[in-house]
Amino acid sequence: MIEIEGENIGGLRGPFKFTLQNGLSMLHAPNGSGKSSLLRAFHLAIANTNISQEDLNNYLTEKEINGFVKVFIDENEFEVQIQRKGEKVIITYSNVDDDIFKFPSEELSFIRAKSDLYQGIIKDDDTFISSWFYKVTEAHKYELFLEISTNTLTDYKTTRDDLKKKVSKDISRNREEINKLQKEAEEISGKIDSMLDSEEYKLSMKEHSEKKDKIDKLRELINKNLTNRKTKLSDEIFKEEEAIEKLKRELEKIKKKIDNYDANLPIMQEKLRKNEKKRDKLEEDLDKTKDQRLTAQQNLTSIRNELKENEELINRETCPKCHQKLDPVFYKDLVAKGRAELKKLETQVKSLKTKEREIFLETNEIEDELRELTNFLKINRESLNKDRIIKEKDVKKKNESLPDKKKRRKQLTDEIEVKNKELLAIQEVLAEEIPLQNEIFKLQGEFNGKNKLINKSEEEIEMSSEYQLRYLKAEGHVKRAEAIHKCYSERFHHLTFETFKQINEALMASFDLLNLAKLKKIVFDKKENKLFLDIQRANNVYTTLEKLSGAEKSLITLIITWVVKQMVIPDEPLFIIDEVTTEMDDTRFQDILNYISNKTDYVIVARHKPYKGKQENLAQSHIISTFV
Amino acid sequence: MAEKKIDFKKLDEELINIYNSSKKPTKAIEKKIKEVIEND
Repeated sequence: MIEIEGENIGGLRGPFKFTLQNGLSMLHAPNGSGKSSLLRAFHLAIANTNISQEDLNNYLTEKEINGFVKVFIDENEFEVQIQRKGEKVIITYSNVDDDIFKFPSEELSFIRAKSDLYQGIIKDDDTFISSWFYKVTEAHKYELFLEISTNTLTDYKTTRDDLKKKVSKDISRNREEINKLQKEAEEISGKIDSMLDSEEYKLSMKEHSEKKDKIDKLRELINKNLTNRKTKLSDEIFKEEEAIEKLKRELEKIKKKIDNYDANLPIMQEKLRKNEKKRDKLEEDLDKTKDQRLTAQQNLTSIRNELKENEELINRETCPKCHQKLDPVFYKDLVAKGRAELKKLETQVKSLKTKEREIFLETNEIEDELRELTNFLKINRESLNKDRIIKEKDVKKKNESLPDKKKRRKQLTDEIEVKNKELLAIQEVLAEEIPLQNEIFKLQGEFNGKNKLINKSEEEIEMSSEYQLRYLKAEGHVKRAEAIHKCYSERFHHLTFETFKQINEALMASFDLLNLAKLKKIVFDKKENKLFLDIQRANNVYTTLEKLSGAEKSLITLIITWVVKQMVIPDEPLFIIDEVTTEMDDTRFQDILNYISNKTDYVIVARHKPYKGKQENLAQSHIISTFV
Repeated sequence: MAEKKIDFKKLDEELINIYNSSKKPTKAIEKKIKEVIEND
């Protein structure tokens, strides 16, 4: 049983309350009486899905601020409050259990004239029909999940197969190899053991132990004593030879310097002589200049005194000594001449002083050079000679000690050679006397080689075990990937191919039932991602949706929606039909509703056109004709 | 250790959430599926 109560929903202004029985409920009333509003109230309470703002405006009665709907279906209760806030209408749900009545789309349980499917069928528009199908089934999501899970499964399978190849190949090959090597190693080991245990070997080892001791002693003598001494001696000789070479090189350098000195000595002496001559001339010039300066200075003093006297006489009328009358013009000329002479002499003295200074400096320079040259020649010659004598003595001394050392080294070399020959002779005898020893060594080498190969193969097997573990893990991943792939494959198959099959069966059954157009099949074109209907009339003539009658279009809408609802939400007990059946006559109407309501708990139909058939023809139904 | 069972209902809900909330959901869906597969 369904109970619905509410207030201010669509055309139902104020409070209202209805009870609907299980099965088919038909709401019959004229246009505008509130049938659609009642269906909206149902839908609003139980849909729990996104309803557009535009639709919400129609849900609340015009000019009302608050409304509500409560629906009781069997033991479940749904309640929704609806409020107008400014230009917006807001809904608030309460008592909604997430596990029940969750509609992927309102269009699955609520058929209206504006349904995309109905519009698509009326207009014969595949796009409308396809978009409706994808929207209500959400098949596009599952199609994507399927595609991704298919790719993922392929990836995991590839990884697993790669590992499988590695595991089987490596393990089998390496195990065979190890078995073979172990067998060979055991054989070699057996041979060695039998040789070591043989009387021949034991006897020969005993007999020759004395020789072996001698070999050891000889080796010790050669290696630790003679060779060490020889090495030490060789090092000393080498160092001394190096030192002599170094001394010789230095001596050579000194000799070159002495030769160079001797070769340049006459030139340097000539230079010295020239410089001495130059110095003597400079000294002579200096004396001469000095004399000239002194003479000029004396003249200067004399002229200065004379000038002073004449200057005094200019202003006198008579001479202070002889008292004769003086001519001032004459003395003025005399003073002027004296001043000119004085100036000339001053310049001359100055010039002579400068010259004197220059000569003096040049003389000093020459003398310094002469001194340096003399000292340099004297010091270098002595020091070079001294060095040469020391180095020559060193070389002689070192050369005297070398031959003795070289002799001792030669003796050691000879001694080592003798001892080596002795050792070799004993070893040869030993090798001849113990042939098994060499064979055992050879076999031991082979045995070691086999063991190395076994270890390598075992390491590889260990790696294979790692691959084995990874393979087992990958196998587990493949199983889980297969399970997920199967889940989405079945889901997508269910939502598409299974659904189309069901739609086809239901459509054909219903068309047969109602004796309408013969519908050949509904096809899902995956390439185009579209649904389209292939319709055939009874006389085998194909037709289009557009050319079908209104009743046929309604029937197709009804059947497709109902089948898809049954496939997607089979537990949803409610199916609401608002006016879409109007075009059908009463007989077809009652037949198709009986077909649907037999498989759905609650079917509610709103119809403005009165139903003239008998109510008993509608199974489990009740008609509410005057509910307003 | 026993293999962890796949909770298909939970996976379904998570994938639909990813699909609804992402503009390019393919990578995120693949990541989620792999996570469920490898979380064994």
